[in-house]
Amino acid sequence: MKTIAVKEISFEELTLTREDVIPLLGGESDYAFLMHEYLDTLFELGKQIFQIKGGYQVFDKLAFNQERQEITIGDITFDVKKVVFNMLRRSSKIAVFVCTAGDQIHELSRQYMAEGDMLKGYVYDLFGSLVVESAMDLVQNSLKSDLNSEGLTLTNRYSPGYCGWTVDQQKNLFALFHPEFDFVKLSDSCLMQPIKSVSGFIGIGHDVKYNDYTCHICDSSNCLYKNLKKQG
Amino acid sequence: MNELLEKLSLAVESGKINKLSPYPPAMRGLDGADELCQQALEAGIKPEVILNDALIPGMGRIGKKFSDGKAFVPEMLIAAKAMSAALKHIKPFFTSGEVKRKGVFVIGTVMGDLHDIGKNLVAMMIEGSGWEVIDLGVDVKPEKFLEAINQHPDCVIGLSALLTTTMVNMETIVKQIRAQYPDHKILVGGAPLSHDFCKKIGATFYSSDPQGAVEFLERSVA
Ligand code: B12
Repeated sequence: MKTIAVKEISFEELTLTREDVIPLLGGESDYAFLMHEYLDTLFELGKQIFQIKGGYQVFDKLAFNQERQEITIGDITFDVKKVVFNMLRRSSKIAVFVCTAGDQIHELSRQYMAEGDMLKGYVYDLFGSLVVESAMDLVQNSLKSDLNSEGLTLTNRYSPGYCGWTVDQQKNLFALFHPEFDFVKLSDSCLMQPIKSVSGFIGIGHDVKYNDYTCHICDSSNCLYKNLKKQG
Repeated sequence: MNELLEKLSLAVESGKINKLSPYPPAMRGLDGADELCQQALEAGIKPEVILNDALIPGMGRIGKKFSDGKAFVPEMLIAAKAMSAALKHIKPFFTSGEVKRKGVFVIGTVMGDLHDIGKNLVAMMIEGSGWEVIDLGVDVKPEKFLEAINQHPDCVIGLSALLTTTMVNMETIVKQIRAQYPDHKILVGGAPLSHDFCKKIGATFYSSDPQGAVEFLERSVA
């Protein structure tokens, strides 16, 4: 298993399809044709618009403190809280990941909004969010296939800011990374830049579980995806 | 209500921008907000009446639908396009002073945060409800808000943040505003916020969506 894997991903490699996007824009409604027009352009120009890069670094020096619900990786301790602790506690290794869709999608979206086309700006913004999630699926899959040969499985991804694990822990997470990961920067206020970026942990082990549906463990009351995933 | 105003209001709510716009399919070939607003002015209807009786209620209805979970963001944004096609005809009357807006709303994403989709939606809906909106952008420091209050003493302030780590900067901003303007109206919003947080930092009002903000502002001028 590689301990550090960073790769550039081309837009064409993503499995993201129109069918993933349209439900978030209101489904096949009577204005869907307008959404399809934007998506035509986005899928056509995706290759130029996105600078996708993602990777993970695997750590095996782990300590779990059940009572405090803390995970220590090397010498950095994470107060991940109950839900994430329970999902990761059987891991023998943890892959710390980050993935970005690049800056340009955000800039384009802002430009359209500033020009007064809020609708186009919104669709571009949403698309950027889906691109980074889809890219992270690829990163996770490549880790998965890397592990299969060793008989190891992995958990879902867990991110600071979800399930009680606070966003300020991003500082600790970024402190773990090898310099190769500096394609995403973390600000003092724990904002990642480019904006369209995600970070987190994936547990690895012989005895860890992957759940197809995880919304029930999340406390988010206003998630864009929650109800859609429930239906799906 | 005047039939023309009724049509105009419906055009805004449904997002019928102009005659050529293909959406909504059921209104294909009909006049849109652009033409209807022009016609209303030509018919001698006062711009203020057009704004208050047709445009604002049209936007209000789509805002309410969104708030009730009956419309998606794109529908609201299509309606906003129709609204701005109509407003184009009303704007000269704002400049001349013939039509007065309800007040000034100053909004910004707080320092440390660069997320602005939500803020932009709120700004747009509040503008569509008859307010002049000054958008200070993202990563806005307390001084900028104070400057805006200096220039527009009666303005209402709106703060937006998307992460818990930037949401805490609202507290700093509210404190600094309160130190100089203890009773100033400050609205807060953004995904991680709550009524409790709003209360804790001493802001005036929290809304989870633009419509709540519009209704609050409505009450504040009533
Ligand atoms: C899409 C999304 C992403 C995308 C893109 C982010 C972006 N906006 O560009 C991606 C996948 C990249 C992402 C990443 C992350 N995200 Co995110 N994301 C979301 C999600 C699902 C939707 C955000 C959105 O665009 N909403 C649409 C807009 C229109 O809504 P809005 O901004 O909230 O604004 C509305 C209201 O809040 C309100 N409003 C907004 N401002 C104001 C102001 C006033 C005055 C008023 C009255 C109202 C108001 O009106 C608006 C219209 O209805 C939210 C969950 C959610 N449903 O909100 C999480 C969410 C924002 N993310 C969250 C987190 C934690 C993260 C990450 C830190 C996770 C990680 N470690 O990787 C990163 C951070 C990224 C970074 N750059 O640092 C948390 C933040 C809360 C927290 N715990 O701090 C949320 C809330 C999810 C959760 N856990 O509940 N995210």
